[in-house]
Amino acid sequence: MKSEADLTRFQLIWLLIAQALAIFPLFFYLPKWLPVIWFTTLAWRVQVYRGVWPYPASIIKTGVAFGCLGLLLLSYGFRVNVGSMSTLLCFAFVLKLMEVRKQNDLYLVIFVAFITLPLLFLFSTNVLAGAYVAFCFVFIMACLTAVQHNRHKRFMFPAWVNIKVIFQALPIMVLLFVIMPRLNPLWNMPSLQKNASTGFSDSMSPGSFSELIKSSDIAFRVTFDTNRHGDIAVPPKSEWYWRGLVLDHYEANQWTPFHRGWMNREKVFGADRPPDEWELEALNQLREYRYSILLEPHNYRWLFSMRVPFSADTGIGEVTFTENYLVKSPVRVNRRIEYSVTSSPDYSLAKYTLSNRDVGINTQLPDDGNPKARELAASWRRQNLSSFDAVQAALSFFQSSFTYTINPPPLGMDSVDEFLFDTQKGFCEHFAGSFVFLMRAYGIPARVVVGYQGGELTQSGYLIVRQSDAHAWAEVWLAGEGWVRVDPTASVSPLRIDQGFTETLSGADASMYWGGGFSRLYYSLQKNLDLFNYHWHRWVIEYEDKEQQKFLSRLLGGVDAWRIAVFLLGVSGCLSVIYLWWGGVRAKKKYAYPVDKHYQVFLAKLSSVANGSLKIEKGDTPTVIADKAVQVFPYHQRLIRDITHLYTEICYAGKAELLPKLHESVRQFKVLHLKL
Amino acid sequence: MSIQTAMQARFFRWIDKHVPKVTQHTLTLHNVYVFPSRLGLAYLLVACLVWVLGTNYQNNLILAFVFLMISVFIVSILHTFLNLNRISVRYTGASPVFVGDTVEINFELAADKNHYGIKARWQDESRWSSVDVVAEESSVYVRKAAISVPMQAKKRGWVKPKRLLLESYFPHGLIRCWTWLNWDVHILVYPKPVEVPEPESIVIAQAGTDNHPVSGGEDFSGLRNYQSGDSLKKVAWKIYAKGKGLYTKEFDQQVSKELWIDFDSIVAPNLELKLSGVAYWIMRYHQQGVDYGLKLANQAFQPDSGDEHMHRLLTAIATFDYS
Repeated sequence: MKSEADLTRFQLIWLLIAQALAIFPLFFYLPKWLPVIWFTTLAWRVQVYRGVWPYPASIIKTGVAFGCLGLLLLSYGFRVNVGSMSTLLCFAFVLKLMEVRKQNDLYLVIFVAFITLPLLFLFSTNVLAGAYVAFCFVFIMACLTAVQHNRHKRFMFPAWVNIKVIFQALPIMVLLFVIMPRLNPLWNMPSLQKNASTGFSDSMSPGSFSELIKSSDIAFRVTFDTNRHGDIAVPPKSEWYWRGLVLDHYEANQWTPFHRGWMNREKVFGADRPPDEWELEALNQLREYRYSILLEPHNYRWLFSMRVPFSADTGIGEVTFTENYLVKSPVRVNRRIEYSVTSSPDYSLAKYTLSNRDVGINTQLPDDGNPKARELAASWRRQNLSSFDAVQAALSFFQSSFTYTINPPPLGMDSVDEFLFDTQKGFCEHFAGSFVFLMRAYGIPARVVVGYQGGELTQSGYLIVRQSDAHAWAEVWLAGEGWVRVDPTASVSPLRIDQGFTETLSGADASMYWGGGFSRLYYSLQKNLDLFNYHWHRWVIEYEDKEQQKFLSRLLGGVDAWRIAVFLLGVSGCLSVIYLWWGGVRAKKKYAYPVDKHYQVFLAKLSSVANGSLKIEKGDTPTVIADKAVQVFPYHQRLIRDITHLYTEICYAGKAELLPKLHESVRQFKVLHLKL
Repeated sequence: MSIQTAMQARFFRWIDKHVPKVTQHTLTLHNVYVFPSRLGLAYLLVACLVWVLGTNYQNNLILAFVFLMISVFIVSILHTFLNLNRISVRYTGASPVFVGDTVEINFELAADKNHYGIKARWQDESRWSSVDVVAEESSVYVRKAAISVPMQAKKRGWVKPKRLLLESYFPHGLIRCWTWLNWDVHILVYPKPVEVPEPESIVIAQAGTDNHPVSGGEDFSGLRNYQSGDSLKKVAWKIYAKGKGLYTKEFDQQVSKELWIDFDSIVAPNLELKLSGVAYWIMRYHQQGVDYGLKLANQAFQPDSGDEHMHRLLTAIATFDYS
């Protein structure tokens, strides 16, 4: 639509409001100079409108544009990422404001707003962002409406219109959201600005967990599903060990996954279940747990599962199984994903033997260092302890005089020795690391497992696992039993395992973790909010192919294209009819003459009381009706005549000012106790 | 281009068959057309762009935003249609104009709910008129709005306006909703006044005895009291009508001349310009407030004055057909 008219004051104000709302939240994520540019432009535009300043000359505009490009380079260099692209778009959006004179220019700015506004979702996906964008959308559409009508007296009019429009559009939007197929990315986009990956990294050294443990960020959420008996089985707390990564190489005080050469970094099996040759079998079907995990992005490939996963399924492609009974994602987890796993703690394996190579890997230790620890292991060996007894000996050694704290003193070169014999203060990673060291020194294959332990069961039955639940424990190989989980931390601080991390802390540790009462309040508030957030993420943010197909096949009995098309057409057809009816029929009712409304009330009262003795024909004029009514109700002649007179005066003589009188008379008539 | 023209011609033939020529139309599903505007197509394109953004980042909220854009578009179709639906358009007249002037053809729009941003123009005209049909006061039950749509008057005579285009983009400009209306309306266009030499007035001898020799004098010298015997034709009837008594008009010379515009005596190169010349002198005499008559080919209008007389004469020359 061509519209060469100048912008009116209202249109300009609407435009400024829409633009300000659309870019405001981005200011938090983009360089700090952007708001300055915006504000300057805004001030200039207002001055132009007031006629104080002229439109900027093209040389100034060019200069400003290049200046902004320069600032962009200063902030981002030549990196092409979401930040730099958004900034470019934003300042183009802002500077365009200077050029807006005609109504056609307004459309261009509005279209840029349509692209700028959803950029917020790249930075934030919470409910508030969603609500905010919906709110802004009303104003952007209001801008368009402000051009399309001639009533410029009522400033808020475009907003009211659009609030109505958007409420009517919501059902269709929900329908589209549920139905429209999701495609895979069409091409690679510049990556999101990710702050360093959250969670732990793929190595563990003393102290590497300490920051993590202070964080109350959510790592993942677990929902337990019904198992094959139809029960929702929640495993006991002692089973809440979420395995993420196995560290089986020790070097320079650091545990890392064993580097298995470039050919086969780690034996990985495709498919959504463990390889058949393991002949893995669940022994106790009652202890089979099915659960789905909504994992926050951590930028690594490992996923978390309980021991031992029998099958796993994810929407992002096939899950892979490693030989350490871990599940892995085929791609890095850089967005929230959901996957489901079936696990059982009671299982049998075809063979309970380790290959020589695996024994070698799992008993590897550096050639020197930590002599005291080695000596301790050697003393057990001299006592001829069995593997099982050696484990017990190590655990009772930890029980004797160790303290659990998240503020351990720093350790030097021989960190295992210093921890075991000097400081004796530490948390999971110290215990697990030194325990595995002792086991290996003794000759038992052992390894460190990192992941999360525990979680917080919410009232609605799902488990929140936070970064503070990060944990490290050990697995030792016992002949005839296979890999057995040993948690040395549990023997020092059993509460840590039974009650979860936050309840274990006391005194100084607790106050440090909580940061006072206010934080506690915040924490409980956060807990309630999380329930909402959980559903928001599960049903809105993560509504992907898998859920969509599940939902659609339940709704439509299938996900064939024709079913979707028929459903879409059917529902949108119904909605259209409803809307048309609203616009037509309902409007008629709403705008029916008020005078008729009152008169109808009068007629309704008459006919309900007269109970058939008053016969009103179709063509009867008000006067005829009045004559008939007076015959039936002679005592109320005056009122009946009054009402009829007022009605005819208003209708046929246009005396609208009599309307309140009619209203009053009809009201009087309505409360009469008419008797035949 | 020729295909487009042909298509358009076809479309208008169809329109003419389906939209009767009347003086009142009511817009319904049957005569209102709806299609995305150019802005609407651009909007869909932007939605596609945002959809690509959402798909490539696998961001459900961005996709939800796209779906909101699309559903607003769909709802906008209905709103735009309802904004033009159920409006009654009634022709309320137009004042006659001269060729070359702009005739404002008046319509009244009536509806029982508010309608916004309704624009109208004549086919082949570029000027739009725009109006909102809203209730000014709560006591008005039927919303009414007057709109006058300008049309260039190109030739004299009874002119039938072409089709009236009524359209609306409300609320968002994304959808164009329009209708073509045919009207049983005739607008009178007078010839454009063009100055020509003054036509020779016809001197008519007064019926009677002596006092109207056929010669120059025409000067009206004054009034005197009526005496019996004076010619009734010389009575100043206007003064008598005002109740001031009976007077006789006195002329210096006993000759009189009546102003007659004789079509044949107009000096102009062709018929149309001759008519323009007549129009000029009609206007001129009308402004002077004198009595004047008109002799056309086969009809004559007795000298008179006043607006009605002027319009009668102008109508005569506007509809004059030489053949």
